[in-house]
Order: sequence, then C-alpha cells, then structure tokens
Amino acid sequence: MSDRNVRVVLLLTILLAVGVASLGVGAVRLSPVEIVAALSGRSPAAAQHETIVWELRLPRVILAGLVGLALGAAGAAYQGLFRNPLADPYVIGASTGSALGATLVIVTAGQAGGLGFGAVPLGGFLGAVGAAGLVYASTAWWGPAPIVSLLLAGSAVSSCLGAMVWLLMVLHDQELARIVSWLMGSLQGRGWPALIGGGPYIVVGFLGLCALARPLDALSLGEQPARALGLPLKPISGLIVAAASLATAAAVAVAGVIGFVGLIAPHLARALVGARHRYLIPASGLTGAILLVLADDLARTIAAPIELPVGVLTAILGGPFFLVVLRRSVR
Amino acid sequence: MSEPRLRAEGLACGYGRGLPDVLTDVDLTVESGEVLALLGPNGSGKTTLLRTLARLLPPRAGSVRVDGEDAWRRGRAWTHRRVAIALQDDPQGSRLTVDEVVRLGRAAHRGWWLPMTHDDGAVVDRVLERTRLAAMRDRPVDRLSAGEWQRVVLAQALAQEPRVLLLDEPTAHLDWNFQSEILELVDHLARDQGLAVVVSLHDLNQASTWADRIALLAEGRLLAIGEPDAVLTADILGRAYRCPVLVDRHPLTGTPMVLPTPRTRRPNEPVRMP
Ligand SMILES: Nc1ncnc2c1ncn2[C@@H]1O[C@H](COP(=O)(O)OP(=O)(O)OP(=O)(O)O)[C@@H](O)[C@H]1O
Ligand SMILES: [Mg+2]
Repeated sequence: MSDRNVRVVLLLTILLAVGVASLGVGAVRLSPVEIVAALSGRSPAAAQHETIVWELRLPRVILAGLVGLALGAAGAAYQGLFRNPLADPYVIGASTGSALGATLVIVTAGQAGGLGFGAVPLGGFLGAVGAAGLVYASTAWWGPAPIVSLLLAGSAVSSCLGAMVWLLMVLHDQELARIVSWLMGSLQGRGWPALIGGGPYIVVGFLGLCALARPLDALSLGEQPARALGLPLKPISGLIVAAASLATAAAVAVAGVIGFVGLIAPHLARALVGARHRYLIPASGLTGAILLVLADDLARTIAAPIELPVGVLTAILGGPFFLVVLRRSVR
Repeated sequence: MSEPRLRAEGLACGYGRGLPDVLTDVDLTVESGEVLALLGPNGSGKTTLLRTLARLLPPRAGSVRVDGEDAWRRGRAWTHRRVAIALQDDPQGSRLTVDEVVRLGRAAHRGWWLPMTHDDGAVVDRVLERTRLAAMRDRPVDRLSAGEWQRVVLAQALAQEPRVLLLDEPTAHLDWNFQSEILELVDHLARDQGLAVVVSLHDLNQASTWADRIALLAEGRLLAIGEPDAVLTADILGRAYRCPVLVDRHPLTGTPMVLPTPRTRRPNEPVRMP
C-alpha cells in the first residue's frame, strides 16, 4: 500500500476513534466501557444508557461525520475547480443557495412535521447548483480571475440569496423560529430520520467527487491545459459542480449552514496527502468529518447546559483561519 | 498515394463572434518524421494556428486532417490520442508534483475514469528520463523555474505518445544548453519515432538549424512555406518582420543564418558593410 493510502486509512481510524469517544460526551458522561456496553445492548447500568447512545448520540455523531465529509470533500472539489485556495461551499454561495432552495420547499410544501427530508434536499440541490453555477459562469466569463474576485462574486451571490431567505422568513413568520434555528447550523435533535433522509445524497455526492479526481487534477493546471489533455471541459465541470452541490445541499438540508469546515479541511488534508485529488478528496472528507464531530462535541459541552449551534462555533473558529489563508494566497 | 500525417486545408482561424479572422487560407502538410517550424512576428497567429490544429479552437473555414481523417468529425478523444500540444500557460499555482502532471498526459489513452496501469507508469518513467526531469519528479510544479516548467509541459505532451506533436515556443525560457537539448530531442523524436512536429519559434537561426521546413506567418496568412533556404531570405523576412536583416551562411552547416542589422546608429559610428 502506498504511503498516501496509509495516511487516508489513518484518518479513517482517527475518525472512528473520535466518533466512538464522542458517544460519551454530553450531559451524561459515559466511559469507553459504558459506551461499548450500551452499543452491544448489554448495558448493566440501565436501559437509559442504551437510549442515550442509540437514539440520541449515535445518529448525531454519524450525522456530524457525514455532514463534515460532505463539506470537506465539496470544499476540496470547489478549490480544485476554481483553482482558488479560498473556495468552499460557504464562501462561493453554494450553502446559501442551498438554504434558499430548501427554505422555499419548507415554506411552500412543508407544514410537514420535522423537515420533509425528501423534497428539502432536492430544493437545496437546485439552489446550490444555481449559486455555484452562477459564480462559476461569472468567473469563466471574466476569464482567469484573481483570487479575490471569486470571493467578491461569491459574497455578492451569497448576500443576494441570503436576503431572499430573510424575505421568505418575514413572509412566513409562523415558520420563523424553525428556519432560524436550522439556518444557524446545528445537529441537535436531528436523529435517524435526518440521517436516513440526507445520508444517501451525501454518499452519492462524495463518491461522485472521488470518481472525478483525475479531471480535477487536470483542471488544477487551468482550463485550457485541461482541454489540451482532451478533457471535455463543460460537461465535466458541470458534473463536478453537480456532485459538490449535491453533497453541500444534503449537508445543508440536514444541518443548516455550517461554514468554514469545507475551507479548513482541504488545507489540512493537502498538508497530509498532497494535492492529487485521488487522495485529497477522501482525505478532505475524512478531515472535515473529524473536525465537525469534534466541533459538535464542543458545541454541546462548552456552555452546558446550553447547546451552541455548531455553525456559530465553526464560523467563530474558521474566520481567523480564512484570514490566514487569504493573506498567504494574495501575498 | 498515402495521406500526410497532418494536413490543413483552406484553414481560417479566429476567436469569438464578431472578431476578424486571425489567419485565412492556410494550406500545409506535415509528414511523419518531419519538423515544421512556425515563424512570424508577435500576434501573427502562431499560437492560434497551433490551437486550431490541436482541435482546441474550431476552424472558421477549412479542415484539419490527421492521417487523412477530419479531426473535428472524428471527435475529441480520437484526436487527442494522436495529437499532443504543449502550450505556454504557467502552472496556475497547482500543487501537483512533476510526476503527477506528466502522468496526466496518459489520460489521452487511459481516459478520465480508469486507473493507470503499469504500462502508463513505464511511459511516464521513460519520458521523465528523456526530458531530464527524473531527479525532480516529486517537486511541486508551482516551485519550478520557468524553464523547468517548460520541460514538464513537453514531458506531459510526450506522455500522450502522440503521432503529431505541436509545440508552442518550447525554447522560450530555456538556457542555451537546454534550448539545444530540447530541439535535439524533438529532432530525435521525429527521426526515430516518426513523429510529425510543428514547433513555433522566435529564433530564426534555430528554425534554420533544426527544421526541415519553415512556415512563415504574417499579414494574416501563410506568407511563405518551404525549406529554410527558400523562406529565410532577406526579402521575405524583411517583409514579414518589417525590419532589415542580413542573411548569411552558417560556416559549418551551410544553412542560412540571419543577423540583425541595427536600424539606427550613433552618428559618429562608422558603417561597415561586409
Ligand atoms: N483568446 C483570444 N481572443 C481574441 N483574440 C485573441 C485571443 N488570443 C489571441 N488573440 C489575437 O489573435 C492574434 C494572434 O495571436 P497569437 O497568440 O496566435 O499570436 P502569436 O503569433 O502566437 O504571437 P506571439 O509571438 O506573441 O506568441 C492576435 O492579434 C491576438 O490579439
Ligand atoms: Mg504565441
């Protein structure tokens, strides 16, 4: 096995360890022994532990992992496609687009209790593809654009779509509280339905991005050089936008807008496995998963008994990281 | 009679709607084993013509034929298995390594989805060896000098194992030694492996030394095409480049040698003519 495969497997091992340990974190602390006992269904303590682990924490930790996987892999793909170290689902407006699409579905279709996990990801998907496609088309139209102009385009698209979300919320104020708490980005109380509803989309998007590794490598050299290698540019960039947006939209549908994980994860992963997307996509996904599981642990313990929305936490921690990368790239 | 490896017929090249043609009525052929040098002033359309021959830019009129078949009819994949082009773009800050960039050349044969095979690895090794890049195969390409990057681009094109090799100013950033080395390599590829090579150059003497024939672009068309002796004349060059030149012979090879003649002199300097 090559050195870089070993590193990807190492990340997977860390993720599993962090995931299992996270089952013990929260208002009721569980030791590793108690976790294993509860998981295996032979908990001597009480059925209570089993309920906590199976009904609350296990789906939540898996969901955090999947959402992190989606955001990390989508971030790596957007960074490759845009040739921009600052691209991520949040920065280029895909998350906001996704939020708009999902909100539209919620206010029009969904008086359904809980989030309707069938139509919401679809609405989110269309919103994400629309926003990412718009930003991509505008940079393609300008020709090779400096790093900051992508950020400006992303933030313009983002604030425009964000304002539409606010508009929808004002018009449908009976849904206000629910939409706000969801928009802030949180994994609280989502449970198995969210996992079953959103998980498959995330897995499909992630596997799609893994399959697009070689085109992403070619695109990192520029669009013309990629075409010179025989890459069908438009269909393939469309596929990349679609796969990354599918993963983003599913993540937003189940957990709201969680920023910066998609930005940070690829940078850490690149330092570990290099730039080749065959390794970078899986490594970014796994790193994103580890980061979000840890962030969610922090979100539910740091101000206990109050739970912070994990999206607020990642934004607070991710902002400074963004500035560091920005400084390094526009030097 | 068999078809030439590469043939352009009545080719007109240009960009976008509403913009004028860059070149019109280009007819040329390149045989297997032949090196054709593309000369012409800045903006005369060398890069444009190469991109049209590589099926990256649709021709406005005429056709590009590879082994007698129309490249635009046969499609992208078919063409890129036969025609490789090394352009002048910089690495765009990509963090890929030399090895990874050269390996991408194999996509022309392996496609974009299937894993690379042992054979692909062997081709990459051989190409890195020939372009003297083996020692720096693990370096990230955004940390290479311009000349090193240029060799990487050539290596990537060679990894495609093409029949037609199109090179856009492959010697532009190279030092004296590597200029000769690259052109020797190109010469060798044409002679031994039967590649048809079209290479754009700015150095008229390099073209004279290494090319079998020269195509000179100017005034929006193919001003002259033929053997160095026929194209590199004071008359034709003066017209193409709009400046006086002196054409002499290389003392060893007898090929034409072009010397610049200054247009302006300091007032008191004696004028010496040969
Ligand atoms: N993408 C483009 N869109 C529109 N016009 C273009 C484009 N690229 C080149 N041109 C124009 O086409 C003409 C030929 O350009 P080209 O790059 O082919 O010249 P060249 O012979 O390669 O020049 P150089 O020696 O400077 O490399 C120029 O007038 C140029 O302005
Ligand atoms: Mg040029």
